[in-house]
Amino acid sequence: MNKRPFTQKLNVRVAIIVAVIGVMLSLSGSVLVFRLALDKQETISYRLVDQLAASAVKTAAIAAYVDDEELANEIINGLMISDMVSGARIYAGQTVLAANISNPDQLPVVSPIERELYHPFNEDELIGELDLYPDTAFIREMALQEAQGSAIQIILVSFLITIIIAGTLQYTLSMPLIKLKQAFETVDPSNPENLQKLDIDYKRQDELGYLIEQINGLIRAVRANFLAERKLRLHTEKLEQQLRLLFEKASIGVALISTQKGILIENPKFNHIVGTNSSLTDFIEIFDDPESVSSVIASLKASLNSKPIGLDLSYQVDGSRRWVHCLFATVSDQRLVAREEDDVLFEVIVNDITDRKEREAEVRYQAQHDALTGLYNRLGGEKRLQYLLNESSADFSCIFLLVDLDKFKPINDTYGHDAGDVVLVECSHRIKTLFNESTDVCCRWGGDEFVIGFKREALPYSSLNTLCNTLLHSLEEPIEVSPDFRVSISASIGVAQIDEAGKSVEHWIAIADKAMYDVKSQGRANYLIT
Amino acid sequence: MSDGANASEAALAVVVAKDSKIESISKRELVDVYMGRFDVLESGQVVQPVDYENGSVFRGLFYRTLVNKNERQINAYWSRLIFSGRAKPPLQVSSPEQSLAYLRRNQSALAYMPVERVSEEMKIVLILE
Repeated sequence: MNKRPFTQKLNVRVAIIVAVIGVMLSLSGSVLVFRLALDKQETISYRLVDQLAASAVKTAAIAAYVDDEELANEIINGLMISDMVSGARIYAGQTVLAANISNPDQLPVVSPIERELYHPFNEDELIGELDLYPDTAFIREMALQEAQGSAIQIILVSFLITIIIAGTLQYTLSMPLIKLKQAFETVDPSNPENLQKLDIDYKRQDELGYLIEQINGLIRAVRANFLAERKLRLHTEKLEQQLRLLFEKASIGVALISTQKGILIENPKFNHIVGTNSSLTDFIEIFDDPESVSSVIASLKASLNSKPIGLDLSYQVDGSRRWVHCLFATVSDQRLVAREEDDVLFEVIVNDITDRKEREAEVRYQAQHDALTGLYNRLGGEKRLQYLLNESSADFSCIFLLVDLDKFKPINDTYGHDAGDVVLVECSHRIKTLFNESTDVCCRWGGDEFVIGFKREALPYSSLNTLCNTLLHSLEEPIEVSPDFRVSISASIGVAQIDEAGKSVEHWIAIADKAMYDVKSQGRANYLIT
Repeated sequence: MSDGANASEAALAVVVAKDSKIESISKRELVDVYMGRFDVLESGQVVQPVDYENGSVFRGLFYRTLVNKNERQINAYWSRLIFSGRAKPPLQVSSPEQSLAYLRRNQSALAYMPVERVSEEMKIVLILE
């Protein structure tokens, strides 16, 4: 509470103003009343003197008529009884019949009240005059007293009214206002929670009552607002905490990326999976297939309403390949950041799928490979051969070999399946050693039957013969079943040269198969190129 | 009061004794004489007015005719003057016979009466109508 100057207080100011107005009013009022009373009193006095003269006129006329000095003196003495009369004179014709002047010095300045005296029985005949001198000093003195009394009355009445007005103002306005101010000083806006409504016990329904009501409404609103705000804030804080927890502890990586500004926010898991990348380019470049990522981002940029795009991506970390599933989706919340025209916000959800990918690869491998020999099985082989066919062109010679081991069943029957398996594994190894190009397809077609598909650039017929011979000889090398036991085996090979586009794998296999059977029927251990 | 009613219609004669020196009098002079202003006429002759008693039949008529006042007003007039002693009201008699008797004894006396009562012993100086 700061102390203000005394005159700054409203009630003091009001009282001073009322007092000043009251004093001014009473002074000007008393001056006015004094003047008016003075004039009025003098007028009344002069009229009274005039009336006095009028009342004596008739008798004075008779006195003048009969020239009765005695009667005239009597009249004049009667008139002189009045305090307001200082002198009187009765003329009969031009001569003074009787006179009484108390203060002759005064006469020249005072004009008398003159009344003409007429003949009592003939009103047209002027027979004399009655002169009456008003006592001006006395009249003025009396008027002054009267006026002073009136002025004092006015001052007293004004003083009383001023005090009553000041008191009424103090009681009806200043006191409630001061109370309101004091009540208002207890209001602490910095502590809205404990805001209480003002109560100064003011019951009247006037402007002040309305003001208090409005202030209380305001206080209520502020308090309600504050409480609602705080509740909302607590709720928001809790929500934020939960969201943060969710974000920070998520088992998947999440990042918000701007095409202009790079990575805006990412969670620890994101960093854990793909490392810390300062820019979008860095992020794209870590993958083995950055072109796919760039094209996905470009398509997101092209259409804001595009659906989320999922990509399985691989990258290298510490010399091993890791797989992640990345889900790219545009974020269209405009409120998040004010962005430039061509800036697009998108979120990336990264999930480490290396284990799954490896398992899948394992399963796929197992599905397409023969467990014993490690070559493609028939299913995997067919698929690979189809690829080979699809990729064949005039620049390449594409060849299918169908290899069938001769007399394999007796080995199985004689030395057991383990021995048979050893033979199959060794043969497979020898085939694989010969056909070790990346495009070469070696598969165990079934039992003791193998299919080899390959393509070579400009492979002359002689070279193909050499190749087939080499394969035959390789397979005919004795095979060590156990340290002290070896077996020898031969093979019949049907060769199909793919010289026609559009035919199926089965077609060419059937051709090779037929050639192989021809070899079998002609004594085995040979090849036939068709 | 039948003669009173007659009298009010009749003219009044202002008379003096037959051998009085007063020959005539104006109405104005008559007023001044009866209202106590003068007791000497303009011609220098002393005059002594004779009036009738209060309530007399001719008196009201006389003053009504002379100054247009009734008897009460005339009495009030005299009561104002009576104490100063400067002016005296006229001598009052009760009847025309007594006024005639006064005229006989007094040469300067002046009286009034209805015209028909005027006798040879009197001289009319003014007729009031």
